[in-house]
Amino acid sequence: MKKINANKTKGQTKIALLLDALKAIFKTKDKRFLIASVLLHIVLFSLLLVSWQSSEPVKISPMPNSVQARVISLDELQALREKREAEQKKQIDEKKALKKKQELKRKKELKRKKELKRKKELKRKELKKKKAREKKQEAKRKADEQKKIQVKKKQREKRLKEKQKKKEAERQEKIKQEEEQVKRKKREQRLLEKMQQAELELERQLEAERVAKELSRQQELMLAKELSETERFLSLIRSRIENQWHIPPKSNGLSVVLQIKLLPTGELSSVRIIQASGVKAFDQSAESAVRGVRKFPVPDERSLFEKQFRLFSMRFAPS
Amino acid sequence: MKFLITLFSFLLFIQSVHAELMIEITKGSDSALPIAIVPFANKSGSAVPYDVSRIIANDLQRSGDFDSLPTSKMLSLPEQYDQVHFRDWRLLGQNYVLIGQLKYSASSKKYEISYELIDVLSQQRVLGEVLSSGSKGLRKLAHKISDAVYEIITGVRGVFSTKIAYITLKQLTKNKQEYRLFVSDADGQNAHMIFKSHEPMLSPSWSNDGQHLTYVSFHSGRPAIYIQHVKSSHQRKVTSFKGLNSAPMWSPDDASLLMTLSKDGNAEIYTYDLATNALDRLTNHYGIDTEASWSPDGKEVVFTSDRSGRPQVYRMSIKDKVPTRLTFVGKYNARPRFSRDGESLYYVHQSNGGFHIAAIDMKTGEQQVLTSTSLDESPSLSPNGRMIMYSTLRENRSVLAVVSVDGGAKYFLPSDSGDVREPAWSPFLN
Repeated sequence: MKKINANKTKGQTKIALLLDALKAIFKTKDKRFLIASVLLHIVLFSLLLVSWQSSEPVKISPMPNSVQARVISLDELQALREKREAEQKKQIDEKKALKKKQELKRKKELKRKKELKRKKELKRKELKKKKAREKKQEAKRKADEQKKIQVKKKQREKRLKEKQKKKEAERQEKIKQEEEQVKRKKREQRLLEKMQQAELELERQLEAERVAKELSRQQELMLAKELSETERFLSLIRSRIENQWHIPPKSNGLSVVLQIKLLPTGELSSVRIIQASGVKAFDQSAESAVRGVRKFPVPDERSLFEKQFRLFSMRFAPS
Repeated sequence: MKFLITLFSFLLFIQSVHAELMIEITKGSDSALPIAIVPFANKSGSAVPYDVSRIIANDLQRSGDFDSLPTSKMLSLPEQYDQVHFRDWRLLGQNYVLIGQLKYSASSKKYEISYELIDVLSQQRVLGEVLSSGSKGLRKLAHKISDAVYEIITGVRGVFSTKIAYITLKQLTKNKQEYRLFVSDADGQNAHMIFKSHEPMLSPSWSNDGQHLTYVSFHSGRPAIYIQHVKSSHQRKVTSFKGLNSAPMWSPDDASLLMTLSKDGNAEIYTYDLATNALDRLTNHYGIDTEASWSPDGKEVVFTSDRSGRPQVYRMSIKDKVPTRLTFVGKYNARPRFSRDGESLYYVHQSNGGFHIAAIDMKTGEQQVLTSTSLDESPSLSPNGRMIMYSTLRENRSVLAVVSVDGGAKYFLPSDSGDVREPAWSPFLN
């Protein structure tokens, strides 16, 4: 199909295209396109016609009715030729000069327009800058005004607050003074009461001390007697125990406490470890020492025995 | 208010006097603990090769911490707990009674010993055990019972099952003598020779595992240090440098030996690494440095040096190797040995014209002379730190003697092997 189309003439192709276009237009529902199409075709045809005229001009050769000839010499012919060539050259030069002049004029015009445009642009920028500066100044002026208003407002508030604070401090001071006065009065009252109590207490103490002193003196006399007896028996017991105690080797630093209960006859009722040394052999040696005493030397006086020797403790710690 | 305080204090005083009577006991008896070792009843039907109860009684008696009641003084010979009349034993002043029986099993050919230790004062059985052994092991069993009794009463491990090594010198002919290295039980019995030589032998020392002995022998013609396996008698030479090779002693970890060598011209102390054979020289002085011994932690050594002009004991850290003199009393102090806890040092001290074993407290520097015999030498400490064995001169013979570290108990070990010297007490043997 493409080959056939290629063989068609240019005019036939255009006609075929036109027919296709018309068919397409008539198929459309919108008549505006139809009108537009018709107009478009008129234009196209006109262009086609013009094209034909310009592409193939008809050359008509005038038929000479007569020929006038003059015989000229070769020199004249040469002169004529040169003259014609000179004229042609002159015409060409003139055309060139004209063209050059026109070119210069065009360039000048272009330069002038360019300069004009640049100046215009510069002017526009200047104007823009000026406007921006004015806008900034305006904004600054407005901000300064706002700031001044704020400062004034703050100063006003501060003055108000200080005034209120001063007022509150005065009120508090007044309350404090009142409370202090109440406290002072109470303190004075308490001090007074205390002084009265102290006087009474002193009297009581003096009496108590006198009684205690008397009691103590009597007890001390009694104790001194008992203690001397106690010491005597303690010494005897210590001696018996030391004779019985076989200290195990490597016992330095060890200590065991035994609680010993005796019968009034001096016989051992019981012995128990109340604070062990942590070394069984050492504890056992102390217990054996106590058990090894057949009869403990104890006082005949029953009260002293009950008080001191019925139950007592013994600490074994080799020095 | 004050009245109340006064009254309260007074009552408290009265109360305290009454309830808090406390008797302080700081001294004990100087005598040993009385114990009765009742002869074990022989139920074997025949004579027993060893008197087990006698061995036990001797062990405990020798320790110095016990006083064993002679059998002749016993009022009865109980065999078991319900036969013990506590009143009798108490009247005899005994704190403990050890009773036992000995049976023999023909099928297993073993003796069976059952024993009980009874606290007379509390009337309680504090120890009891049944042990068995062949006839040859009866001595060992007896020492084992001694160890158990000693430990339960004193709280300290007994050393009756340990061994000792010593050197004897026997004059064979007028010009021929023989040196012998013996190993025996700690009581000197059951001795057997493990090495002998016609050349001198010196300074036996036990390895801490109880398997080896190291000593100096001249049997190769010059002094050399040897290590010998006790059971197999396998011997190997460790060093035989030119000059002195003497006083070897095992380190606490058995990895090295301390020794004295003069290979560099003068007697100096070295450590010898048994794994690498590397020597590390510890001293460097023109004086004689010798007889070095380790501290229990292996960080220090003590040794004899005459760098001050006379033999004195010095102490030195293995790390910095700077010696510090320890002894200042007397003109001669030598052969130092640390106590097991490192708190005391035992050494040979010359005083009043004789040589004695002395102890110095490492904290206070206080010195105590422990022996009264003369020409005492070579102290060796028991593994429980309670006894020191040494050699001394008795009736013109060199014999072994033992003294307790507090100087209380003293005894001599029997010997029929001529001069006995250079004792070395083994570690605990398991």
